[in-house]
Amino acid sequence: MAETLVTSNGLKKYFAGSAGWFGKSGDVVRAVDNINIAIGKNETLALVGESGCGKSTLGRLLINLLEPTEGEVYFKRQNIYKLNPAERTAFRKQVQIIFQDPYASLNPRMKVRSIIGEPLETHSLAQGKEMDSRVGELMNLVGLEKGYMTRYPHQFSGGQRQRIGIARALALNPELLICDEPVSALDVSIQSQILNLLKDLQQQLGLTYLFISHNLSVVRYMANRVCVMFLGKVVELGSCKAVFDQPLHPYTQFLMMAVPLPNPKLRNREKRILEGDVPSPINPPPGCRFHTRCPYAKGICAAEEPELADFGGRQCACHFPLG
Amino acid sequence: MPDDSMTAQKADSTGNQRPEGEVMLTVAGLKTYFSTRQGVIPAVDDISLEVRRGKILGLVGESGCGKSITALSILRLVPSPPGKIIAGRVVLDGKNLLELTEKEMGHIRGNEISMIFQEPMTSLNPVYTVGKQVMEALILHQKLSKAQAREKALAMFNLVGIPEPEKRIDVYPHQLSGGLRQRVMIAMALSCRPKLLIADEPTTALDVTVQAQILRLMKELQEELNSAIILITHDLGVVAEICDDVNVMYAGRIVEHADVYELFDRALHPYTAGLLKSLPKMYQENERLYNIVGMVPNLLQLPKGCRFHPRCESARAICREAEPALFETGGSHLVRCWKYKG
Ligand SMILES: Nc1ncnc2c1ncn2[C@@H]1O[C@H](COP(=O)(O)OP(=O)(O)OP(=O)(O)O)[C@@H](O)[C@H]1O
Ligand SMILES: Nc1ncnc2c1ncn2[C@@H]1O[C@H](COP(=O)(O)OP(=O)(O)OP(=O)(O)O)[C@@H](O)[C@H]1O
Ligand code: SF4
Ligand SMILES: [Mg+2]
Ligand SMILES: [Mg+2]
Repeated sequence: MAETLVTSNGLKKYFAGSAGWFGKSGDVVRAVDNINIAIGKNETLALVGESGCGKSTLGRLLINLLEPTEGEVYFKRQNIYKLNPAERTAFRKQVQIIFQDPYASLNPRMKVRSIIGEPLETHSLAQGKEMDSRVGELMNLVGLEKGYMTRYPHQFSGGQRQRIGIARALALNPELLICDEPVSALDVSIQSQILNLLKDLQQQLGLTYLFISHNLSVVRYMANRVCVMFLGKVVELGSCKAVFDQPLHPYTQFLMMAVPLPNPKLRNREKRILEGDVPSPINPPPGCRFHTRCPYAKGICAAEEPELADFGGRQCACHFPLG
Repeated sequence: MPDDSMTAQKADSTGNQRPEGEVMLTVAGLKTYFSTRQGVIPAVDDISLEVRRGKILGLVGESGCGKSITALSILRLVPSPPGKIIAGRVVLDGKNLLELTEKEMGHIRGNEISMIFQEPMTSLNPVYTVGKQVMEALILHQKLSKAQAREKALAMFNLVGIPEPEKRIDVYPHQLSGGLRQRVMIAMALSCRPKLLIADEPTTALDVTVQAQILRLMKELQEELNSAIILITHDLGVVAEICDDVNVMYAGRIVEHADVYELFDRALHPYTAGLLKSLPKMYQENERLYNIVGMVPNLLQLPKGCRFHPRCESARAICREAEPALFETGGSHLVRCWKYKG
């Protein structure tokens, strides 16, 4: 890996559990549980895994939208939780996020012009006519008619709203962009436009992406490396090619097998769907967190938590890695 | 619940046999327009489709082409103003839903048709716990007692793969991840055992393993109840896995209709063909992705002629002048493109 841009050290985020904010003691959701990752400059690292396993939480921690329970994050060797106000403003300009839920993240009372222009205004980068033309430019970039500038979010379809969020995130030319399911609401033709756009921007501007997605074909297209999470932990990490061609962790293997294929003639192929109850991050199972659903589990799996170990340039946390 | 599982037939695995399910829902000539300050937006513009008992109909197409508004029109939930259904019929087992009173319609929603909405956050109430919302629906529509409703809600949460439902049932929507919220929505929609389920992007927020579980659950319930599903999705993989028929929409119109095997074998409309070509491949290093040039037209300034012509690689003179009809090309395969005029 070239120069490192972001590193996390022993990063943890626990949320108070279900019984409200003052829940029974011990009732905590371990959303992110001791994660150490590094993202190289100009790299795309994909983050995949079961929904609820902590991907969005990790993404937010990395850009200081959430305070960790424990651990540190370094951006260009600076601890992002210990910035002074001036450093913090500079940091805010360099990192952006495309939110997973475009509807919840767009202010319904603001026109699209102000939504996309807001970061420019906050950092006093453009005003008036200049702002309009920059906003128009950004809208065209993501395939939206700039004539829609004076509309409100509810006047757009789901996918159009997602593109508004993308345009806003790109407004400041960030260095690190957290893309949280950036194309999940888009049809494949716009999806391919946006993915090509993100790749072009990366090349032109040297951007770094953390790319969260459930769509593994999209991950394969976008990412250099992929990090597979399960219940708040990293279970596998490696180059896309290696992980897709030969997954080491049983959970990764199930993920790959569950991908729906765009060919109806294959719909009756033998499928193995993960059985069993989805374990909970509130009371994660002891040992390997996947052992309750793992067909390869043996005694040790329930007793001892496997370490994330090295396998020739890639990593996997399993007592009985495949392959 | 009417039972005509005897008349429902399955397409065989090669897909040569046409699906024979009886028509349950007919949408005919549906137009839903929005009046805005800038002009009238024809979001749904003369849509006709049929949903068969025991079958899954896929609805795909460009974002903004009118899929959700079609679904909301069927349920008469289009925000009005600015939206208005200005023409058409929506006939469910002989009843034109557009002619029912609001009270009768309220009974249809939740009892006969239920919907999984595209954005769970907009349809879950942030001030009530998720359990309360699911229970409310059960108490209202299925006349359950509070205790029964809670039990049923817990069982549904379990079925849709929510871990430790007893601990999640009393939380507020914002305390759940995107995928968990979506599963709450799915639990709510399925708990009413509808004869028609409209699922608008039901699995987009879910990882593929949970998606596979949910799709299987939807399919099982559908087979058990011999019900029908309209599945709106961008995921052509999901379409290929579980749909029987597919409608492709573009700019407010249906541009292609075919049996699922036929569609993936022989996509005729240049837009559909472009979609299939744009898919990234899972097990290959991908070259730069193909994409259809240009942008979806502004619905306020629709191009003359075929609505797709400014982006179409096969456009000819006539395409710029007149809009093609839905031409028949054999079997149930319909396509709105001049190339296929008899
Ligand atoms: N504010 C919060 N309060 C309590 N629990 C929370 C909060 N935010 C997230 N969680 C919990 O933390 C866990 C991880 O959530 P997160 O949103 O990071 O998951 P995710 O991997 O992004 O899932 P998805 O793929 O569904 O978006 C979940 O169990 C979620 O319910
Ligand atoms: N309240 C509204 N006012 C004005 N226009 C609207 C309104 N709601 C929707 N529209 C327009 O109607 C068209 C159809 O929207 P619809 O939500 O049905 O799209 P969709 O096909 O579901 O797209 P997506 O795949 O992105 O969800 C869009 O072009 C949208 O801009
Ligand atoms: S009618 Fe013409 S422009 Fe429209 S899709 Fe067919 S060839 Fe293309
Ligand atoms: Mg998330
Ligand atoms: Mg929609």
